Amino acid sequence: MSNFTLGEFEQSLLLAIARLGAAAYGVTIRQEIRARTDREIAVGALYTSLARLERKGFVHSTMSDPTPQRGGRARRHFTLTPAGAAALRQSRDRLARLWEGLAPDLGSR
Amino acid sequence: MLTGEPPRLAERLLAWSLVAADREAVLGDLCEEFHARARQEGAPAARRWYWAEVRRSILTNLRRRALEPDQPRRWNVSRASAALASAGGGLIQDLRYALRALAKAPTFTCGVVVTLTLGIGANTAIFSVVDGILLEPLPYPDADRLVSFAWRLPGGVSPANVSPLTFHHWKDHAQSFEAFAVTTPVTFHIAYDGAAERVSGVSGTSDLFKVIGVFPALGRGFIPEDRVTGSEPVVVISHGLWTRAFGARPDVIGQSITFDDRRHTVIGVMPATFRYEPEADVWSPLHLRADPRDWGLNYTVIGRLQAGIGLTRAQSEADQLFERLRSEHPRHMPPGTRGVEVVRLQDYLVAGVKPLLYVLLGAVALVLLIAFGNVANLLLSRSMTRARDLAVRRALGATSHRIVGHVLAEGLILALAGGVAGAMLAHAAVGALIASMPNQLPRLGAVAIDYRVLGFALLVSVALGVALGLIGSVRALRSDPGRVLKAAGTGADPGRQRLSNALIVGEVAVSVVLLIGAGLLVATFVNLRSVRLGFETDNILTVQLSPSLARFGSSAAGAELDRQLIERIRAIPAVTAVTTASSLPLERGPNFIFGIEGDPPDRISYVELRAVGPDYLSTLGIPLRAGRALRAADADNSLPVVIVNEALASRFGGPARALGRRIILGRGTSGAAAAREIVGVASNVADGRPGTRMFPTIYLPRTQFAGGASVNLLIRTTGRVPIEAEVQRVVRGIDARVPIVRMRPMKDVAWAAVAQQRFNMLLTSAFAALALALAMVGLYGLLSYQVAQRKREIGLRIALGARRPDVLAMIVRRGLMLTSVGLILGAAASVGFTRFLRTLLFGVTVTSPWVYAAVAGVLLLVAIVASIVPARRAMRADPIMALRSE
Repeated sequence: MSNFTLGEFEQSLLLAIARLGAAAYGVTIRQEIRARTDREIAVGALYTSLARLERKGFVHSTMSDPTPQRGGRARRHFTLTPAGAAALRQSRDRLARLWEGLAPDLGSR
Repeated sequence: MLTGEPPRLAERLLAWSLVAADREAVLGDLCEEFHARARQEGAPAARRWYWAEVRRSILTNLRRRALEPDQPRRWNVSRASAALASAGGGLIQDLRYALRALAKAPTFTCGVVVTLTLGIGANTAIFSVVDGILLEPLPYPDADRLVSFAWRLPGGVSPANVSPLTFHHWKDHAQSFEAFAVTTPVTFHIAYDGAAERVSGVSGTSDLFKVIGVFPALGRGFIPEDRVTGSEPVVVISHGLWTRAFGARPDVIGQSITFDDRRHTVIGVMPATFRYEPEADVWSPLHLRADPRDWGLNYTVIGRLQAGIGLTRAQSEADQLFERLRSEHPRHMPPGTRGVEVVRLQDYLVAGVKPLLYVLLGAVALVLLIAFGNVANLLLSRSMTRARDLAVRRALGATSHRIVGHVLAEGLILALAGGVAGAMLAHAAVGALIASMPNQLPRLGAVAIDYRVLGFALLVSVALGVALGLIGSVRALRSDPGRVLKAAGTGADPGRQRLSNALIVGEVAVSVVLLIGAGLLVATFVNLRSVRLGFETDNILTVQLSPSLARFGSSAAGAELDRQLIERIRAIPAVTAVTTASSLPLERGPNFIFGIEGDPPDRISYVELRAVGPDYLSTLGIPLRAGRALRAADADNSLPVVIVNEALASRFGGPARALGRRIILGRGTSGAAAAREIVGVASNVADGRPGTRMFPTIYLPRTQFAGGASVNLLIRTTGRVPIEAEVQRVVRGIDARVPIVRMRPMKDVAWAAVAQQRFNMLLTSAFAALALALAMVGLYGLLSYQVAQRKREIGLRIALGARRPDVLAMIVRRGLMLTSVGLILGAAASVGFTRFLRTLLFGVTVTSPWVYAAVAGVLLLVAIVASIVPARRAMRADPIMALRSE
C-alpha cells in the first residue's frame, strides 16, 4: 500500500468518515466537508469516489434500516478500515515531511 | 410537516443514471436532505436544490455506469446469475456504445466496411469454388473410402488408367477393397419422341454400384448374368433421363430403349438425388477378359476400401501387387513406371485443377491481407483522434478490460458488417465466376454459397474483427492517459507512425507478389496467343457431328458419310473447300504408340493421331514439306499411307528421308499393327499442348482408320455469307439422326484453346489490380494523414523560405521510399511464392526480369500518382493558417 497516494479529495472523504465515526453516511459526510472546507460535493462524485475507496479496501460500508424521511430507503454507513487509516497517516506523513523546515508563510529562513 | 416530496422526474432521472448498488443510498441521502432543506428554506428552494444536485451528478453517474457494471463481491448462485446478466448487459452496452461511436464517424465506417467487403467477398467467392471442387466430399456414402490409382512416373505422379489384366490382377488378389471396379466413359445416342439426344454414359464392371455405394432406386444393378451373349444389352439410366425419355413411368424396368440404333433393356433407374462424377445419364456393364495381349491403358480404377483400412494399408498392398505385375507383365503400364499410388478418388478427379485453385485462394488471401492492413491503418488514425476520449475514461477508472471490450466490439461490428456485405457480394459474383470458368473444370455443379461457405465468411470476419480490436486496444492501452490528456491531441505518436509505415510497406510488398504472379500469367497468355499456329483460322467454319458408332463405326459406313458430306457441302456456293477430321486442330487427338519398321520392338514412343479427309492440309493452309497430300483414292483397300509432321520426320533425318519409310501404329494387338508408308511430310502446327517442343503427329486417311465415329467438318468459305443454316440443312438431308454438336468459327476454336490461360490471367490480374488499388489507397491515406499531422512543420518551413516544389518533392519522395522498400521486399518474396505458379506458365520463367521490371515500373508510377495529391496539399499549406491552427 505504500506506493499508493491518496488524492486530496479522497483524503477529505476519509478524514470526514474518521471524524464522524458511526454517524458517517452520505448526508453527514457532505455536511462535514461543506462545513470544514466550504466545498460543495456533488452526490455523484461522492459515491463514485467512495466506491473506489471501498474497492481499494480503505472504507467499509453497511446498510442500515430504512427510515421514512428517506422515502423508505436505507442509509449506507461508511467506516474507515485499518488500511484506510494507514493510508491516511501515510499521506499526512508525506506531506509533513515535505513541509518540514518551511515557514507557514513559505518564506525562506 | 407538509414539505412535499422530492421532484419525481428528477428522482427518476437520477435513479436511472446510478449504478444499481448506489441507487438506494444516494436517493435516500437526497431525499433526507431534501426534507431538511424544505423545512428550512421551503419546498421550492429544496426542489431547485434537488434539480441542481441531479444536474451536477448525472454525467459522472452515467460515465461510471458505462465503465463499471456492478461487480459481484462474492460468488454464489444468485450473485453468479446476476453477474452473468450484467456481463451480458456489458456486452450489449459495448455493442451499443460501439455502434454509436461508428455512426458518429460515417466516412471512417464506410471506408472500412467497403474495404472489408471487397476482401471478404473475393475470399468467400473463391472459397466457395475451392470448397465445392476440392473440399466437399463426393456425393457418395462414405466417399472418403473411395480410391483410384495413379502411376508413379519418372516425371511425377499422374492419374492412372489400367489394362483389363491389371484390373483382374487387383480384383483377384487385393484384400484391402470391399469392392473394386474399372470404368470407361461412353457416349450414347438416344432417340425418343423424334428427338435425338447425345448422353454421357459410363461403362463399368459389375461391382461399380457396390463401389460407389448407391444402387438403382428402381430395378437392379449389374449382375454377372448380364453378360450372356445373344440377349439384349442392359443399361441403368439416371432419374433425369427416365423423366425425359419415359415420362417417369414406373413400369420402365424391362422396357427397351434404343441407344445407338440398338435396343437395350432398362434394368434400373438411379435415385433422383444421385449425381455421378463426372456427370452421366447411362451406366452399362463392362465385361473385360484378362487378356495379357490387351495392354491398352483405357480403364479408370474406382475402388472402395474396407471399413477401417486406411490409404497406408492399401498402399503397402498395392506396392506388393505392383511388383508382381511388373515382373510378369511389364507392358501393362506406361514405360518407366515405378509404382502404383493409391489416391483418394476425389483427388484423382480434381488433380488437374488443384494448383490453379490453390493459387487463386492464395491470391485472394493476399488481397484480404492488404485490405486488413488498410483497415488497421484507418483504425490507428482513428485511435489517435479517440485517444483523448479513451484516456478520459481510463483516468476515470475504466479498467483495461472494459476499454478492450469497447474497441473489440467496434472491430467486430466493422468486420461483421464487411462479412455480411462480402457474403452478398460473393453470392452475386460466384455465378459470374462459374460462368467465366472454362468448362474443363470438374465438379462445378457442387459450387454454391452454402452454409459451409457462409461459415467460412463468418470465421474470417470474426478473426478480422478480433485482430482489428486487438490492434486498436493495444494502442489504446499502451498510451499513457496523462500524457495524452496533456498533449490534447497535438503531437504525433512515433510508435503509431512506425506501425503505419510498416503496414504500408507490407501492403506494397504483398501487392508486388500478386502483381508479379499476375504478370507471369499475362505473359503466359500473350506467349500462347503469339504461338504460330501453322494453319489459317480466317473464314473457316468447324462443325462437330456425332454420328452413332453402331451405324457409322464401320469404316465403310463412315467413309460413305464423309463422302456425302464433303460432296454436298462443297456444292454450297460460298464454300471454297471442305474436309473432315476426327478431331479439330488445337484440340487433342488420340495418342498412339508407334514404332518404326525395322527398329527393335521395344523402341516405341507416342504420336498424336489425326484421322483426316482428303484436302485436309490445303483446306487449313498447312504447307506440305515433302511428298504428297492425302487423296480420295487412299481408301481402305489401297496401300496404308500416312503423312507425318516435321517433328516426326526429324526422327528419320528430315522430310526427304522420311518419305517411303514405314511405321507401325499400336502395340501389335489388332489390324492397326499393319505397317503404313509415309507418303508426305506436313509442316508443324500448334496442337494445343503447352510447350514449345512440337509433338510428333501423324495424319492418316479416315478411310483407313476405324477409330470411332465422331466427325468434324472444316469448311473454308468466301467469308461473305453465313452458311450455318445451309450446312444444317445439308446434314439433316443426309441423315436426320446425325446430331450437330456445335458449329463455330475456327477463330473461336483458337480462342477456346487458351480459355484456361485467359481465365487464369484475368482473375489473377483482377486480384492484383484490387491489391494494388488497396495498397495505393492506403499509401494515399497515410501520406494525407502525415501531411495533416505535419501541417505546422511544413507551414514553418515555407515561412522560413522553403520552396514549394521542394515541399512537394519531399512528400512524393516519402511515398516513393515506402513503396520502394515494399517493392524490394515483395520482389524477394515473389521469388519464393511464384514457384507455385510454375505448372501454369508457358514461355516465361518465374524470375522473368521483364515481368519484374514491368511491375516495378507500374508500381512506382502509381505510387507517384497516389503521393501527388497529399504532396500538393502540403505544398499549398498556408504558413499563417498552419501556425494559427495550433
